[in-house]
Amino acid sequence: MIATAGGPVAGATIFTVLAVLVLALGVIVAAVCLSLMIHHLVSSHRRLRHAARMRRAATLLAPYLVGGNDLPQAVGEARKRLGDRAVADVLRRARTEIKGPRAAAISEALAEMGEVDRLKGIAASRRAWKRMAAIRGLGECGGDEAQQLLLSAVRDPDPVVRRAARDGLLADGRPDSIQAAIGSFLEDVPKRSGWRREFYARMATMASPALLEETVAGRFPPAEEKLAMEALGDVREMRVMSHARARLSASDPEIRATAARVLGKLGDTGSVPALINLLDDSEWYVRASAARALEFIPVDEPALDALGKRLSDSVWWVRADAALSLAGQGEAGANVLITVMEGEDKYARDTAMAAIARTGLTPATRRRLRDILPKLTADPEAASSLAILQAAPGVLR
Amino acid sequence: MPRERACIVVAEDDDLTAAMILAVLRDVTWRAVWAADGEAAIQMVEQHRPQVLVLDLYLPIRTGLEVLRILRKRPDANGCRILVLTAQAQIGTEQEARANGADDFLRKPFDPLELKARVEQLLREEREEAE
Amino acid sequence: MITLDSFLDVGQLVILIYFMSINTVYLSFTLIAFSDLIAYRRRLWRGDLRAVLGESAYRPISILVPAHNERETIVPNLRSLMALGYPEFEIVVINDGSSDDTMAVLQQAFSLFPVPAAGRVLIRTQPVRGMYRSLDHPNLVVLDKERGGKSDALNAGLNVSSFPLFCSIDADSLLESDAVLRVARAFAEDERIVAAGGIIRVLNGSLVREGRVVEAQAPQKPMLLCQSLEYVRGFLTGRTTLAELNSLLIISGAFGVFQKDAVVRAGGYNPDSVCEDMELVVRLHRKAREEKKPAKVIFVPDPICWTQIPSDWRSLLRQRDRWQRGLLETIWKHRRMFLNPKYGSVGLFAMPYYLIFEALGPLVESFGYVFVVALWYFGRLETSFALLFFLFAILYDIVLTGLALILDDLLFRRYERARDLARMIAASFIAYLGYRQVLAFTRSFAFLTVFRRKRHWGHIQRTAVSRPQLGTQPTSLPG
Repeated sequence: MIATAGGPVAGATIFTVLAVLVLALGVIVAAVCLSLMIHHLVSSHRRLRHAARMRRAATLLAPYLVGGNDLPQAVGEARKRLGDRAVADVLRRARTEIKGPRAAAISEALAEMGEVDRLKGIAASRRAWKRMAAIRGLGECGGDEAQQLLLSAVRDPDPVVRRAARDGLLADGRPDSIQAAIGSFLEDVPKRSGWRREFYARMATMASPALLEETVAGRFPPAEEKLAMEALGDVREMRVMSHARARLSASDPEIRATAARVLGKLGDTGSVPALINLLDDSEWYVRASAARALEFIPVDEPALDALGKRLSDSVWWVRADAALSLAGQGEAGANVLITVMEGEDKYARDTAMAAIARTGLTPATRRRLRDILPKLTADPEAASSLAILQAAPGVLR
Repeated sequence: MPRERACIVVAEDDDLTAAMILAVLRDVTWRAVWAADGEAAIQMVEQHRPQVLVLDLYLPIRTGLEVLRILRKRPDANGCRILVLTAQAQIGTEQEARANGADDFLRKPFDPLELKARVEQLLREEREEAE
Repeated sequence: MITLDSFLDVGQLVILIYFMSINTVYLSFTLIAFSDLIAYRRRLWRGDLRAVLGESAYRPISILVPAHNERETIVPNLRSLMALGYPEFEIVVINDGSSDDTMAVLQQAFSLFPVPAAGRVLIRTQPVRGMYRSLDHPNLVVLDKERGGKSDALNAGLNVSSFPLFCSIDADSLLESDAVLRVARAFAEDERIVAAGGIIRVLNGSLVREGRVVEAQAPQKPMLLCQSLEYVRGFLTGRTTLAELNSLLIISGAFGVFQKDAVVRAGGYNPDSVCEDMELVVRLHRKAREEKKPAKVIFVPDPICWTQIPSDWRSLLRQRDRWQRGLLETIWKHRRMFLNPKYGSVGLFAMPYYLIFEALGPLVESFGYVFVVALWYFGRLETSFALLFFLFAILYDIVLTGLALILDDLLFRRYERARDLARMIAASFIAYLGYRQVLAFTRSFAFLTVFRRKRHWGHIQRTAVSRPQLGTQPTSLPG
């Protein structure tokens, strides 16, 4: 082997070196195995103990968390018996589940027991991940002092810390907190560290009036406004309706489409004429959004007719959305669908047949459907759609 | 049935939240029981025949929506009032919950006083209907 | 004799150099993985996931479940999928021409009714016989189609899926309830991500109840333990680092989340490839570079999916053979990317890495064993030296495995009982008593069979996890 090729002395040296290495590795292996087992046992034990303490703290404190004036005493008792960590963890978790005056009481308790001070210390750490953890914790604690710390943390050099601070401020909900959060967010957006959709969703959940105000005031650029409106629609913030109505005639088609969707989610009957107009929009996704919006708003003839016309749209999505909307309009919509089925446009007819399987039919409409059945059966091109129609429960049977 | 003897089942997977909800309900009635997952919730409703069920949508084994649907299909559990209490904030969630038979809907984070008021309202409704 | 001598010398040199380079690479991977994963865990916040539930920021996702002859397991698995904690998702089951009564079982369990097969044909597949929806579960869609293989089934699923993200899983993968949440969070945070994989864990030996893993336990059979070890090392120190270097080429077929748009533009899954998951990821990388669109393939170091691993040798060897052939096939198919600066880190680092260390590794290893025998035969073997060398190699590898186990325990606390951890440690020693050797030779033989066209599912013996009635003891899978 190579060892011997270099001569006996070199061979012996290499051999010794190798032997030493093997020995060293053996020691390392033993050390690794041992430390693994020890760490596992120790951390298991610690974890189980903490979990048990938290459970007991939860049981002890629960009644005082939700009512009464005895929370401070209860916290004191629990701290003596179970230690600060378990109690603080329980209080923080509870504060994220509760809102209202009780939440304020929990924040006070946390401040009193020194948790806010402890986190304040960690928030000054040089390590970004420690600061982040502390800021998250402060967000959970709530209260005045925590808010102050969060307000300064939105200017932290690390984006993850800033994001944590923004979340905490949104949870806080006070006007100056919200303003600071939005300001910080808008600054971060161009830096691609904004986590945009998540921010809007969080804002809509925690502080929708403020989000509404900012949207209406036009503080957001168009790309952001879309997301803001969408988020407001998702949490059913009714007051965004007038803004959305105005935006139905925006120059940006994506804003038009978003506005239509939002109005649909909110069930705004007042915007129906404008939505009917949008059914003739030049952009297909605007037409589709308008069609889909009408699914949730009870409408009458003009809208039903307009939707019926959309069943012959050149774009498949528009046809599908129009059909679904008609299917959601109950008997009136079903009648339009059946009329289309009698028509000459084969693709519209197939779309209508697909949609009608989703409606609940009244006896009158079912009769109408049965009446046109012979004509459909006679047409070979309608065979597959017809088979499915006949198989769908509650339609023809 | 006098309010104090009404039975309420709480279906919630997080133990702290459940403890808090139960604490709120103990003011209303002394028979409040806890189910930690969907399957247990269904069993408990069958077993205890509660007047009210407080239901979280995020449950293991069977989701809250599944529980809702299953219970509403059973004729004997139909008198039970169901309050859905959930962290899911989308508009569709409330619509879907009500469409599947929920009587009331509350979002988390919740105000304990509000929860208590809603539950008491549901108990009143249930009692009036029974009479 | 001179030629023989020089041949033997060169052979030793080759083995030595290869050995040193591969171990250096593995060591650096382990070290990088350590710093990476610890940093990742620190950034995580417990409240993140629960906050997610209250938001609409996460894009809806379609879960594609290709199924072939799954009558035993399909219903319980679908039920556990339906209980996934995610705001909006649909489940698309694709019955790929099953010869048993899978369709009937589904029909009965979920009250299916037929609907018009609506969907644009984005990718051509074998004919679809019908599409069904469920009366009880509005987010369930079932496709019935002619046989075409897993890739074909996934493509058909893509055609009818309605959402921008999709998740491809095996019919017998068991997902954690927040699996999709964790992975989707990554997509929400970075719009450039086109594909994401996660940690797959071994189901065999764990306690399962109602479709949920109640407690993770290490299997008992040595060959299962050895596989478990490979999974730990492969996922924790392998894929994490590769993803960090933007060189991840494999996302497990047992669980992967992709951007539908990107996959469709790349042409969907390839029905002719043996290992369709890898081939797709490489193609995604390729398309991204060619179109000059930034795309990231990431690895989410959260434990999310449990899968059954082969419990008999035959299935195991067949699986490894298939993987090896898939690897070779993919590298060959995309050989243009090899060492091509146009393809960035994938071409310059990932492809060479996979070829030299993953593909050729077993070949060199087998060659090594044969070589030692040859040395002995020609009387050139220094027994003590060779023994020492082997010991060195084995111990070095065990150290790396041990480090991976430490990482696993530190971050994920996988096993509750110390006994399971001890079993894993023991396995790292036992693996050298035959397991590794058999695998190395099998994979080497794959070089010969790589050109054989095989287009079936590569079935592993699956044992049905019986679903106990409520209140009874949870069952363990044989292991």
